[in-house]
Amino acid sequence: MTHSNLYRSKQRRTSHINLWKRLNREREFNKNHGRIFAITVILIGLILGGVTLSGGPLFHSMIANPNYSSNHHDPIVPLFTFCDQKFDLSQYNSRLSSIPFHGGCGTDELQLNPNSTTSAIAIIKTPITLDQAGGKNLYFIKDMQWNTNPAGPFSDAAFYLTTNSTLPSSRTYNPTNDKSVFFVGMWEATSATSEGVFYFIKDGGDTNTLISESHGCNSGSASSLVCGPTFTPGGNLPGTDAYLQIILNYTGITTSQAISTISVAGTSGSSSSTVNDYKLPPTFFQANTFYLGFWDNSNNPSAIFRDNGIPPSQNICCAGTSGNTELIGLYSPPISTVVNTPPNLDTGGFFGPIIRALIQIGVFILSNVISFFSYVYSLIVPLVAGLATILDSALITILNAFGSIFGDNHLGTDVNNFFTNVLGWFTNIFETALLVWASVLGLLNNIINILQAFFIPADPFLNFLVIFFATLSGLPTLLATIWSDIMYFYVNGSFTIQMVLIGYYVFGIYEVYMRGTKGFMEWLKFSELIFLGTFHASYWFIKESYDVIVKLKQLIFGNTVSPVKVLGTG
Amino acid sequence: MEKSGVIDGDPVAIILFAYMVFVLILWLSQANSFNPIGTNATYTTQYAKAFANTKWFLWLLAPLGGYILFNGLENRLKETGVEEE
Repeated sequence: MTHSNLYRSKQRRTSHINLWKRLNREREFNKNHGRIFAITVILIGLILGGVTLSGGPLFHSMIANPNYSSNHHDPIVPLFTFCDQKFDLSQYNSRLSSIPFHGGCGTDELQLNPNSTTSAIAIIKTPITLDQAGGKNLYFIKDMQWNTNPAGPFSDAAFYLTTNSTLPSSRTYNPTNDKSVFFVGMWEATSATSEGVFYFIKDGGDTNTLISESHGCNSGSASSLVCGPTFTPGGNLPGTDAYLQIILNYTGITTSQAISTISVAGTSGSSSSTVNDYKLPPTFFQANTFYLGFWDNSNNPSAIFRDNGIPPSQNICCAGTSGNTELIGLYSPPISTVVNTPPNLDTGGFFGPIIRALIQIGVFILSNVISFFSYVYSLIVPLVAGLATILDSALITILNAFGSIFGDNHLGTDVNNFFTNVLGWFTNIFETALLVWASVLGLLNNIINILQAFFIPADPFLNFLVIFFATLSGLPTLLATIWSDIMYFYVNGSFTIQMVLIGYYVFGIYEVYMRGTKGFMEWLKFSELIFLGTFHASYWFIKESYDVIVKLKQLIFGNTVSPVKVLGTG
Repeated sequence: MEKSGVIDGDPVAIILFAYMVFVLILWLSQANSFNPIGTNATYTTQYAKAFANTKWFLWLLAPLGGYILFNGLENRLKETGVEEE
C-alpha cells in the first residue's frame, strides 16, 4: 500500500509539473494585464461618473427634505447669557460669594458660601429684557451642585429674576419673600431627594410676594408654586450636578398658557414632567427689566452655580467651546414628526418624467388590482349568499320533493350545500386572497425595512465597511510587519512558517480569482503534494532507514533466532 | 480561452473566492501562533470584528454556495478532466 502511494505521488508530481506549464501558458500576462487595466479604468469611470451624475441633470433622484434638519436644529435662541471675561465679583452685587474657578470665556463658577445666620446672594448687574418671549417658549436653565452634603430638608438654593439689582439688607433674605422677585427656580434639597420647584408671580406687579401667593404645589392658577418632578440622583449630593430647567409655553392663548416641560437632571439620572393644568400668568416678564440673582439659604452648605453642560453645549460667549452660563432663551422644539421623514423623491432631471410615470403606473396598477379583487368580492359574495338564502327556504323542500321522484330526496339539500360551499369557497378564496395581498404588501414593507436596515449606519454591513476601513488604517503597519518579515528572510535566510502559509493561501485565492475552480483544484492538488508529500517522504525515509538498519544488523549478526522462540513461548 | 475565474464572472469561483477570503479574515483574527499577526491584538481584534459582523453573509451564501459548488465542481471535473491527469 505504501509503495502504491509513492507511485501515486509520482503521478501527482507529474501532474504538478503539467500544472506549472499550464499556468505559465494560460496566464498570458499581457492579455490579463490589459483586461485588469480596462476593468479598473471602467470602474473608476463608473464611480467618478456616478458621483458626478448623481447630483447632476440625470439622476438627482433625492433631494433633502427641508424639514429634515434636526441634526442641525439648535432649539435655543439665547436671550441672555453672561459672558464673564473678568472672572471676579465686580460684575455682581454680592455677599458671601466667590468665584473659585473659571475655565475661561464665561465658564466661571459662582460659589455662594452662606453662614449660619446670613444667606449668600449674588445678583448680576447686567439688566435683562424678555419682551421677545411673548408668543414663544421661554426657556430657563441653570446648573448647581452642592459643595458638601445639604444639612436638611430646608437646604434650598435658587436662581431668580428680580426687578431690583440692589443687594438686600436682610441677613435671612429669601427671594420668595421679596416683592421685586417675579420668578424663582429653586432646588429644594433634602437628605434623600431633590425637587425642582418654580414660583411665578401672579399679580403681575409689586403687590404680593411669591410665598404669599403660594397655595401648595400645582394647586391651580391661584398658586404661584409649580413643582417639578422629584429626583434622587445627583442634585442633593456633593460634587454632582443638578440641572434645573423649565420651558414656559407662551405660544397659546394668553389666558391659558401652560408649562410644557419642567425637568431636572443630575449627572447620574434625570427626570422630567409636564404640567398642563397650570395657567401661567400672562407675560409676567414683559414691560420689566430684570436682573438674574442667585441665592443660597443661610446655614446651608456652599452652592456652586456652574456653566451648563447640556444642550446647547456650544458656548455662546466663545464659539468652539462648550458650556453656557446663566442661560435664558427662546425654545423652539425640534419637529419630531419629521425627524424620520425620508428624503423626498425628486422626479426632476432627465429621467424624472420616466420615474414619475413608472411610479404613477405602479400605483395605478396596484390600486386597480386591489380594487378589482375587492369589487369582485363585494359583488359575488352577496349574490351567492342570496342564492343560498333563497334555496335555504322553500326551494330546498321543493327540490327534495322533486328529487324523491327519482329516488333522491336530498336533492334540494345537496343543491343548497353546493351553493353554500361555493359561497364558502368564494369567501375563503377572496378573504385569503386579500389576506395574501396584505401579507405581500407587508412582505414588501419588510423588504424595504431590510433594505433600509442594510444601509443604516448601525447595520452589520456598514459596520463591516467601517471596521474594514478602520483596519485599512492600520494597513501600513501590517505591511511593515510583513515587509520586515520578508527582510528577515533575506537577511537571515529564514521565514516564519506562518507567513509562508498565509502567502501560500493568498496564492490559492489568487488562483481562484484568475482561474476559478480549476485553479482551486490544482492549488488543492499542489497543497496535497506539499503537505501530504512531506508526510509520505518522512514515512518513506523512516521505512527505508529501518530496512537499512535491519539489513545491516543481519549482515553483522546474521539471522539469529529470537530468544523467545528458543524458550518455546513464541 | 475558457472563462472560469472570478475575473470572468464565474459564480462558482465567486462563491469559492468569498469563502476563501472569509477564511483568511478568520485566520487573521485568531490570537494564536498560527496567525503571523496573532500577537498584535489591534489587528486581530479588527479582523475578529470584521468577521463577526459579516459571517451572516456566509450563512446566507451557504445553501446556494453548497449547491453551486458541488454541482459546479462535479461538472468542471468532468469537463476539464483534472481527475484523469
